[in-house]
Amino acid sequence: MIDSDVIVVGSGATGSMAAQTIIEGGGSVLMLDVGRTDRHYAGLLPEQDYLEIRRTDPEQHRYLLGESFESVLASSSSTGAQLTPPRRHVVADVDRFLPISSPNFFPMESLALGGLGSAWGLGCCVFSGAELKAARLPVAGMKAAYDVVAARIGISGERDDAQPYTFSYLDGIQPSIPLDPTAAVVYKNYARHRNRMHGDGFYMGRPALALLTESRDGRNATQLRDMDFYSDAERAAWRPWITIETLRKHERFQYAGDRFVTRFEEREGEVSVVTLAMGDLEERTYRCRRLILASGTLGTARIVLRSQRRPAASLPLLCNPFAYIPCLVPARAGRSMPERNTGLAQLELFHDPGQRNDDVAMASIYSYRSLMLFRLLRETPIDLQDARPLMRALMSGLLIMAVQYPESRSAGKYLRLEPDAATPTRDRLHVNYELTRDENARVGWREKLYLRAMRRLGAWPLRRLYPGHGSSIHYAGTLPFSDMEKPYTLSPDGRVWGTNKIFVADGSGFAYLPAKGLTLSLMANAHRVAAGVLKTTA
Amino acid sequence: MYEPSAEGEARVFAKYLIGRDIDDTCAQLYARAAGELGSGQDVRDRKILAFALRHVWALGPLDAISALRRPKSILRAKLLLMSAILEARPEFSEKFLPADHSGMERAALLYYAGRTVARAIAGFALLGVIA
Ligand SMILES: Cc1cc2nc3c(=O)[nH]c(=O)nc-3n(C[C@H](O)[C@H](O)[C@H](O)COP(=O)(O)OP(=O)(O)OC[C@H]3O[C@@H](n4cnc5c(N)ncnc54)[C@H](O)[C@@H]3O)c2cc1C
Repeated sequence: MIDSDVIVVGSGATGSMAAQTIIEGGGSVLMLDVGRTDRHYAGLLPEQDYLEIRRTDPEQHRYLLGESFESVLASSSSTGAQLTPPRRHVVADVDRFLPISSPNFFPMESLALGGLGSAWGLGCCVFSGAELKAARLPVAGMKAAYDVVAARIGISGERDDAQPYTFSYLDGIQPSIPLDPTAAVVYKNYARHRNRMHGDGFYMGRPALALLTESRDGRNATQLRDMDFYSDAERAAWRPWITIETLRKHERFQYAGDRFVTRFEEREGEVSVVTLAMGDLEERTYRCRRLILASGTLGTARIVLRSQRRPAASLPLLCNPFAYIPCLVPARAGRSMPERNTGLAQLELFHDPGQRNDDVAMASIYSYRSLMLFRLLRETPIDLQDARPLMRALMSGLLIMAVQYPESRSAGKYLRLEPDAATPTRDRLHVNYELTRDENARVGWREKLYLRAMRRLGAWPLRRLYPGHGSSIHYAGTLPFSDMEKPYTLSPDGRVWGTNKIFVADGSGFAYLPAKGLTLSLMANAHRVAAGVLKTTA
Repeated sequence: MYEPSAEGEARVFAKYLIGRDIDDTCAQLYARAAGELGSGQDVRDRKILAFALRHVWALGPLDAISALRRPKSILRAKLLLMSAILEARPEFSEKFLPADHSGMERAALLYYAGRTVARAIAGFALLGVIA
């Protein structure tokens, strides 16, 4: 007996888009998901501005520091340390069910309803034709898919120098969020030095964000309450659970939470999907005609490696190299901040030395607004009595630049599944991630150019922080697209080679990972793969 | 020997960090949080903490040198915890939020910068004594 025509594994950005495409196309979907949610903090958060809360709410420590003070007590280098207490459910149960051993790779994975998309920074970018080709994604198919996804989620942005790298040719873009005064200083300097910046291959502009600045579809325009890292109450930010919530009203959509998928088996025109209950590990098998894996690049690698009974394989891995560079805009130090804005990215600075949009690095620039001072104090190597007034004064002039570099395959970056009887799945992912000397040199070269560019823009880089490989939270490339039938690759339409009915809708197939935020492209690809699956079921 | 309770410790730390007395709620919050933190494994770090609590005048220098040499020490962890709790109290939040600084306040920043250097030097000497 078939449980559903199509089973989708995972409710993240890719699973939600794939499911929506199947449902809108007339198919039926059973979504298998772990689906951890925040049952506690959302109820504590008042519907007020961040600053108002800080000045008035005697209970604020509960959700700003956490009921067990987890925000302060977690080491700043631990996975998920940047997540605020109301977002920490995003990494719940991951250590137990998605164990990893690695000397040099520290990813963030999620078993939440909405996956990593429950915490994502909303930054949207369209890959250029050259980037799509390098990733082995079909240019025309992806362009059409970007349109569909952008219309579903709603994007705000601005037509400026960054546009070719952010929302590019997409229509229906809402106006951008207002510019914070600290970022405005840098943007003004960019306008003054525009020609020189372009000569050095740098292009700056406002980010494209999956954040509504005009209400639509029952979602409100952002009220600029600066609670973006804590709450989704306004529904201005697109998060996958918003799509899932809508799909759940549909009779052809079923959602089964608390199910952890371990493996699949394809037999006699049917696919069996084996799952474990999260609590007592009770096994249950579901059946479908087509299976779409959207369990995140690393999650899908585990399921495929477990299911394909071939000799132990090492799969390649892509992850954008990443660094934080806090910068000080002296002109803005010791100043108050406007009451209303958002802690999301204020500016993007792209480095495109060849001016061909084919080898682009990307820096997202944030003002330090709605995160507490203690996070800065923790990193300050001076006594806390003096650090407080000093950092308080510097805070308003602080910009945090998060730089990502494009990523290609190389020999030192791989993963494999190893036996481990102590885990619920009796295995553990082993990951190795080392850049080659050339890759390191190229990252170092670009980083120096970024530092110089920021100085020119009136922002002094204070230090460089390397949170470790994996911390970009952009993963892809474990089952690269291939035109030839080869084990552990995907056909161009996302089918796992060697199977007939198993498809992958997340980033596993991308054979190259541009530095531009990948999630819009992940979603577009998920739509494309799901549309193909619909055709095969019809 | 002066061995304050967790709530007493909270009052000492708050006075040091922001120069203010705190109410019972705030002290109890710290006590609960310090319970989550534990008392630290490293014997030397615990000695430093005990010394700083016995001789409150030494808190600044020991904090300054710990920031440089022992950033993960129990003294730093407890001070950071207290600082975060104060920051999350509405009555003290303004001390942590950005504000327009007057000329005097800007000048005071230079004083703080100088003081932290002097404290680190004094703290370095004190570490030798405690060891
Ligand atoms: C703090 C933060 C900021 C970010 N900012 C940006 C940004 O600005 N721009 C950008 O482009 N990207 C950003 N990202 C990255 C972005 O969130 C991810 O690329 C994207 O969400 C990945 O979606 P996915 O569907 O591929 O996988 P995931 O989000 O990992 O979803 C996987 C889903 O599968 C489920 N699952 C996994 N394994 C199993 C299993 N075995 N059985 C059942 N269910 C399973 C999980 O519960 C989850 O629902 C950010 C991420 C974080 C954490």
